[in-house]
Amino acid sequence: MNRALLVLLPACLLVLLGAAAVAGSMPAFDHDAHKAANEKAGLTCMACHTLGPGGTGPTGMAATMAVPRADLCHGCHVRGAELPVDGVAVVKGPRACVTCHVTAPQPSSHGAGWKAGHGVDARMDVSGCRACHRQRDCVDCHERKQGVGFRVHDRSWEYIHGIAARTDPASCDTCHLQADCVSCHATDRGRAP
Amino acid sequence: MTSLYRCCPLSLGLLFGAPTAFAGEFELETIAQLRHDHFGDLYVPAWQLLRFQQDAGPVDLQGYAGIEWMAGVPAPLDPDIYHLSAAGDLAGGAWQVGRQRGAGALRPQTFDGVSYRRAIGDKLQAAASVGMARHQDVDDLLDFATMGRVELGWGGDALWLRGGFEMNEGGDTELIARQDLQGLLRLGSGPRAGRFGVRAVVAEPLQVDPGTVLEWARTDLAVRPWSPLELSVHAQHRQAADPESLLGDAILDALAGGVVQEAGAGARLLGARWSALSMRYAVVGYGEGNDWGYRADMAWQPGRSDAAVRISPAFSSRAGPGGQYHAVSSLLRWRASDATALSASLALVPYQKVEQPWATLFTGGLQLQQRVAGFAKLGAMVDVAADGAGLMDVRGGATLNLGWSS
Repeated sequence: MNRALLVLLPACLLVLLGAAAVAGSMPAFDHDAHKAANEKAGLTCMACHTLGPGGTGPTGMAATMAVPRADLCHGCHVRGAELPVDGVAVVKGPRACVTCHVTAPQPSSHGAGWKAGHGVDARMDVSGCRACHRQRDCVDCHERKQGVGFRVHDRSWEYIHGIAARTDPASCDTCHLQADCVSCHATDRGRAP
Repeated sequence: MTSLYRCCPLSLGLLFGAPTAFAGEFELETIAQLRHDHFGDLYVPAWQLLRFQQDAGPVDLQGYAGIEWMAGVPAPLDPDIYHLSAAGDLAGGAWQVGRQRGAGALRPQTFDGVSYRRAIGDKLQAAASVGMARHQDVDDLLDFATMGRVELGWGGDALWLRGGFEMNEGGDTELIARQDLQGLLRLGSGPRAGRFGVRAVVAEPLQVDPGTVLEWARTDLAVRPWSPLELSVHAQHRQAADPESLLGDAILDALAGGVVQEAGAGARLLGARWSALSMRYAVVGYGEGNDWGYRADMAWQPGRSDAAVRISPAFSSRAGPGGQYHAVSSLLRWRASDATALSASLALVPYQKVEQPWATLFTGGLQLQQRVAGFAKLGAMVDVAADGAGLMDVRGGATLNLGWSS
């Protein structure tokens, strides 16, 4: 098997290097799309390009007209922050943070070890999670089992999970009870030997 | 079949009625598949799932229900309500009533009951829950058990501690008490902040054959010495004995070693656009230390999660008392447009189970998702698993997701 490993590991590295050629694109602000959506909702240019002081640069009409304030973006793109603009309901835009903040650093709570321990953070302060995430985000990773891209256990897991469970039973303990083994392997509804 | 007649109108009612009734988040997921079981027989499972959350008004409602139908088994219909609870505020605290998923010593517990959580000052938090937990018995019967838990948490800016005590009793099982302690220390602040965590759980039966049936402890440390680089180490101890109870924590006690020690290290290389290359390796010792195993994982997620094309390769390897495997896999996601996405997965897994010869498993799958309206998404998938021993498992299915949020 050592010989097989010698082949598999370089193959794995080659796949990694190959995938490096594929990179995500960074969307630019699409003014035409925003203009069309606003017009559809009955909003004028002044809904974003307001007069008066604002923005992060020099205050005054010129600065505000050129670059709308960030809170105006969040009025349409952040859940729970929808406020009427000039008495007209705002447009509901995409709400994922990465829609706009493609190069922004991760939140301070997402420091080292966060991915492995984010359950602890969720128990500490779930309202902090809900500022950006929704219940569906939990479901997509932890409960949606039927897609080919399920992120916890892939398709091959069905055939090799016995090996993994005996190697590291504590990993199973985190989510599963012994009843979960029983339901497939020892009941009328079970479909496994 | 009578149940099916009752459930279909119920599903239709939920399908058309729920969006207007709930102003929060709502999802209806319908899945039908054609697949083989491990005995080579073809069967047709189908699931109807409903998830909703209404987070407005004085009382919030949340639910997660499912109906599973499976052709070719003695009891094809299995309706179940996983969660259905109401929550609100009372006397400065938060209450929840109904079937809910609450914190547990080792893992979240699903129970029918009531829970209450209240902050005491700025830093201290107390919680209590009581109810009836359900567990599936070896005879496919539901075994009911009463459960109670009290919990105390303290959270500062850098340090967070939680301690809990819970008891379970029911069916033909004895009274089991579990105590748990969890701590988290944030090292520094900002994205480069590290963290140090400890967690320990002890479980004991109180009536029959007293003694510890589970000891589980884990500690880990993660730091970012250089902005894109994250390093971590961990150690774990687990000692389990089966108290002959499904309420027990000794999952796989008959299969896995009763005493397991583990030590490992990991590294992640993070990109500016949320990409990550991660590696983890751990050595695992069993029993008195005469048997050894390992687990190793490596994965790369390049670019942003919503990039037009994303290929995520991974390598995973395990060796222990149950055998060994080395899995090379890759997942491709292609967003052809705002409405269309294609996913493809491939995996090659040489594996050897105990006292069996080596075999190589191949799995591959395709999934197409098409948004057909602002609230509706259709999906179609097909995948195959095959190995040199003659196994050929083809699976196909369709999914309909209806979702609303406001």
